[in-house]
Amino acid sequence: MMNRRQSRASRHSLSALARAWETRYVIVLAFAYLISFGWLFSAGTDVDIRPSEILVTPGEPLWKTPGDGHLFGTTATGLDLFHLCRIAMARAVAVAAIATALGLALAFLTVMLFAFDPGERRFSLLKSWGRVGVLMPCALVLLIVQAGAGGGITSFVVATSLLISIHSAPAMAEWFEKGEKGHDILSAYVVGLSRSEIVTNRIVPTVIRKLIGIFATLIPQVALVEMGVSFLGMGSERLSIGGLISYGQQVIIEAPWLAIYPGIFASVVTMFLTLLGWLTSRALKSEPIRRFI
Amino acid sequence: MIRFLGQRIFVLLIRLILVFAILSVVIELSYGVFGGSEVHVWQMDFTAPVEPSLMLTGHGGWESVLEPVANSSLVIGITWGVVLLTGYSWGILTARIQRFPFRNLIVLPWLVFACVPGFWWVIQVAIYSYFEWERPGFANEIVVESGPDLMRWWNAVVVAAPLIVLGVAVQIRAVNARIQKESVLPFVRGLYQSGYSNREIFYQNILRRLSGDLVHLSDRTLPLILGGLIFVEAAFRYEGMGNFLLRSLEVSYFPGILVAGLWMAGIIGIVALIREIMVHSLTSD
Repeated sequence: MMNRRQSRASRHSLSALARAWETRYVIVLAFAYLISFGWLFSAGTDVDIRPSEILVTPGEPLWKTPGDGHLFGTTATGLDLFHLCRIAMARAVAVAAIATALGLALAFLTVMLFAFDPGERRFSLLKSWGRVGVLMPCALVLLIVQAGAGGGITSFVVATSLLISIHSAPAMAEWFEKGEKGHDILSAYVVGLSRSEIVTNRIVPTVIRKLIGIFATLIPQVALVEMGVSFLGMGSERLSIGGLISYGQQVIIEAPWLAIYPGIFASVVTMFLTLLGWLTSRALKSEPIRRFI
Repeated sequence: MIRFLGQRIFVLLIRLILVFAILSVVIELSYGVFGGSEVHVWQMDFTAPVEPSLMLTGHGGWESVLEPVANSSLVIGITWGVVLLTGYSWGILTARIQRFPFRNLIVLPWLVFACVPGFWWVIQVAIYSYFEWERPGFANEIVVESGPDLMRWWNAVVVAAPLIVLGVAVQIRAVNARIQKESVLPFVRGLYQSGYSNREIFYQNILRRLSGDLVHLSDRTLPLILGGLIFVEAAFRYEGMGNFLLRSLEVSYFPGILVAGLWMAGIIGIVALIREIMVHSLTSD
């Protein structure tokens, strides 16, 4: 048998294949996310979807009950409810993803302010702040902000991301503390690596990997909160699942399907996203954090 | 013990004062700075008539707030009681059968129903009750003037149900995760090799060692339950503190917002105090 040396290209392709095999679960989950988000966001906005225009009952309503041609029935203006649910849910998920990403990024930056400090009690301020924050339910603070600022996406995203950062920063600080107690980190200190090198090259990558899992699990939870805020009329002026359900309540005698189907749709999508989030978190070995929202 | 109790009560009071300060800042920022309101937090008057109650019942005294407090406390009591009972028993059971296939199936119903928006669920109950049972749908549709007020209990249970599902799902996972973490420690292997049975290791060693830690988990669902209460009460038109808060928000009645916020913080704080005392008495032995 000839002992031939492999070409550089074949070595690279083999190592790429090995790496892909190692991260196969993450790749499959990424595809699942792509497909589900693609389906959700491809609903488009080819029709006028301003709630003030479509969620009204004209003199001669164009109701159609769920069935032929319209899986979820139609609104009084004749628009397909299933199509509207997709648009509204895509919006909720997009808002949730932006707020969660901002919140986690802010929490990470806050923790990094303290992470390079060699003191034993460097995170004590963050932790004591977290203990006070737990006394106030997130929904309470969020609703005060939304009601006071007059609603809107911007205030929702800002308030939610601040709440996420306040509640997840203490958990993140614990990851840093735990990360520093590992045998490899102790060995790195013995070898003579500086604290900054250890934090940047050893601990931060582990924390970032966990953050992706937390991000995936938080999205459906924040989307549920967005629906609730919209239901109370404190969301934005745009189409939302909460707004659809709230309108459905007003026309409950004439068109009960308007109060029923948006909720079923939202539940199914939230369940699917929760399942994906849980699988992502498990694949990336993220530690679960205390549910706060 | 008395010293410990005094210390914890002092810490709780400081935390409540901090919550008051934080809520005041949040209200001022939201209404005054972002909302452009001309009324400010420092101008609020606790002696003026309570506007949300005045709108609803015509009585503007603070004693009118006692009824929403009682109604919401009933919901919280039912919810938290069921969450503790079910969450702990289910969580311990899930951890006990960890080696069996399909073990996650017993948690699945809770996790699935926790994804259902609670405010939508109570509307469905109201619709079903009205159309199928021909009974009052929402909570404010009938007032019992004589005889036992069974409707009060029915309404409280309907409001509590989605919160129970959410709380139980979180509690089960927390209890299960904590037991799982303990059961992989080296002492478990040691006991197994010494000839202890699975049952003895689980109930007499792991659970006994974890008693303090498990009590620690008892109040972690409360902020979630209280937060969810606001949405569910509004959807079911239930006259509780959640609805009182929302009406206070609508009419910019700052004392009402602060009272509702402090009521929530007070409940969470007092339960945390009881939990701390329990953990202290368990671990000081």
